[in-house]
Amino acid sequence: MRKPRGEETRILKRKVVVRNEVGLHARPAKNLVSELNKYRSDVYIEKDDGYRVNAKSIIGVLTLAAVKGTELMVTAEGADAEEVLDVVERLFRECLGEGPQVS
Amino acid sequence: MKKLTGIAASPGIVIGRAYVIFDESFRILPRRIAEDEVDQEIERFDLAVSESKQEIFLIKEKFKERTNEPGLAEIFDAHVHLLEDPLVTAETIRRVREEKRNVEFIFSDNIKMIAEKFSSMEDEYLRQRLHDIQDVSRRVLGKLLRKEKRSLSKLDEKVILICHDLTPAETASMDRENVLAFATNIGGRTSHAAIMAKALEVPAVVGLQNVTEQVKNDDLIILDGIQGTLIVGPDEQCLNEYQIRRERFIESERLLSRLKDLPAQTLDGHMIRLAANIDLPEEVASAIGHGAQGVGLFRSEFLYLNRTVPPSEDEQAEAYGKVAELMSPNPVTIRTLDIGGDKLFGGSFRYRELNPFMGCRAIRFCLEHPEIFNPQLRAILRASVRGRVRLIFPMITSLSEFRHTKAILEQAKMDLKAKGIPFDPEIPVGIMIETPSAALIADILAREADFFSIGTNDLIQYSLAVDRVNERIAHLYQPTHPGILRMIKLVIDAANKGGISLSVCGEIAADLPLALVLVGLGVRDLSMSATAIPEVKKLIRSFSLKDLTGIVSRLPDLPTSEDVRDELRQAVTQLVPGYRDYEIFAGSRNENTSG
Repeated sequence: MRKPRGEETRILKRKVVVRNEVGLHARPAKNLVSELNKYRSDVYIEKDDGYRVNAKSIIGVLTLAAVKGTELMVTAEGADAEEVLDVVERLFRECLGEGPQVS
Repeated sequence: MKKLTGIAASPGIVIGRAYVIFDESFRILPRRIAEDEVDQEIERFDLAVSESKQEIFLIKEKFKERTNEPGLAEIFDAHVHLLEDPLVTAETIRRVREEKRNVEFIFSDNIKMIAEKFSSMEDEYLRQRLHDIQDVSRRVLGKLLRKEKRSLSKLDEKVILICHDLTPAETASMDRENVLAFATNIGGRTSHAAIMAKALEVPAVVGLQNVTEQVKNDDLIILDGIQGTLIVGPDEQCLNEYQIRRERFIESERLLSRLKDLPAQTLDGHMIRLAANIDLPEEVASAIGHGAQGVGLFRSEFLYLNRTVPPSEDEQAEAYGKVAELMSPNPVTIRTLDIGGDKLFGGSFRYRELNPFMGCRAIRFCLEHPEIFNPQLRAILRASVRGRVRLIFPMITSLSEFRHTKAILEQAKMDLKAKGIPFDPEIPVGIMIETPSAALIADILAREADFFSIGTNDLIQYSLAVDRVNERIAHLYQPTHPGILRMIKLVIDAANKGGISLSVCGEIAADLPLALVLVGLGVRDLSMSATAIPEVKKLIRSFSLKDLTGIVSRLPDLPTSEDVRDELRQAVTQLVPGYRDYEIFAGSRNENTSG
């Protein structure tokens, strides 16, 4: 995506951990992708084996097949990179809207 | 003549010629493109994608006109979303710019890479999504290659369609004038194609494994969507038999309109309540259409199958609530999860059991997994304010087990109360009587249960020690075994004495002579697959309970299963001369459902 002139492009990285019981599955993945699509930055997620996907793609996120406990490196590129990473961090902490099933 | 057995997906019997579709794979070769062709190539791609979206939208609209189940139309929305996914579209465009090759090649290569990742994931849910991705990409490729995607909307003659699989879009856009029925290699009772076929009332058999290899174009075939069988090259005798069955089915469908609003009442005025067994909320319409006076058994496990994450409490509450609302004021009996952990969530609860039927399944599994059981109980409770909901527990074998389960239900009620969520505090709680031990202590259980339902499939299997799926001993699965009749009688008497209601929800409720036996033994509530209701109702309306009781009371004392059948046949043909042998004794039905 071409950025308007004068806007600072930043590349930031942050590490997150999958806390969802069932891993990064359909619903959590959808929640993540639809949230990220509200932001301008490009966002990528990388596993420690180097496999990297576009975090705004539901297909991409699903193919990560990230189970509970997986560490992921998130990269955001764009003017709102910092904000995006804060959001990502919060989402992962809150189990992507799939809070631990209290029973 | 050969007979193939698959899974009954949508009822009906069709005799016709086969039309076999082989999955033509698009042959796409890579081709270099010049720098100044790139934009043109991308333009072509954008056009193909937007045309595909438009087409999917039209199919969805058409589908919505033809059926009143809006939930299913969401599948098409998902398809449109896939066409907006950056990995599908943006990535293709990026690679065309970078690699300077034709867009067909890049696009199909891209899809192939996605498919490889998905197919290595050993996950039923993801494989379904892969299916969606491939369906959508075939459509786009068809446009790019200016080749029309295989079209089922314009066929020249009436055929039975044979193919590897049908996508939901293909099922929905099928030419219903000329597609008499369809059969596929893969798929299950709850796959999208099966659900759509049922909604559109196109008979179908799925999961036949290699039907595309077994059948040739123009072969004469019989498709039996009731039993889930396909007969290739039938001989004359077989054809005649199926002509009769077909007429019987059509007749029963015709009866449907006449019988729908008439009561299931015996000649001497006794009312029998006929309810439907369902697996999915989408089946309620058919249940009502067939005159069901309630849902006698809502098998909740289908909400859990083919996915890796349990359905959320909200999703379940909505599904149960919807059924309750649609059925209101008639009751809906929801059975809690009745399955072994091995079948759930892509095998997340993988443990080997030497004897799964005697293993950790149904209530045993639920008691072991409160994280699954508790949300389900809360969801059912929440649904109870939207209609008349009854709750039933499967596979209860002892009173302590029932008490334990009820205590957990009480906890779920307290949870909801604490949160101020409304529910019916008096929700009736019943027990599935499906093990010999439960049948033998039915009098004791009746003191603490609000109602019983006899699950005959399991009760017979556990009592006779016969796995009816095992072909070598399937003949030993005899619902007319005097031991079974005595067992059922015992439960009926216990329920009557305890003053609680009782229903029978196994497949024998729909087996015509056996339905009579049940009524004669004292059952007043029967629950069966919706399509069986008109026939059973017709039969009930042609007997007086007095005569029936007279015949049936002798049966449990006869020495063998064959004696029971003979006696029954004689009595029935005598009492109702209009009924011929083949009508009521067409042999044991081979239903694919479980009760």
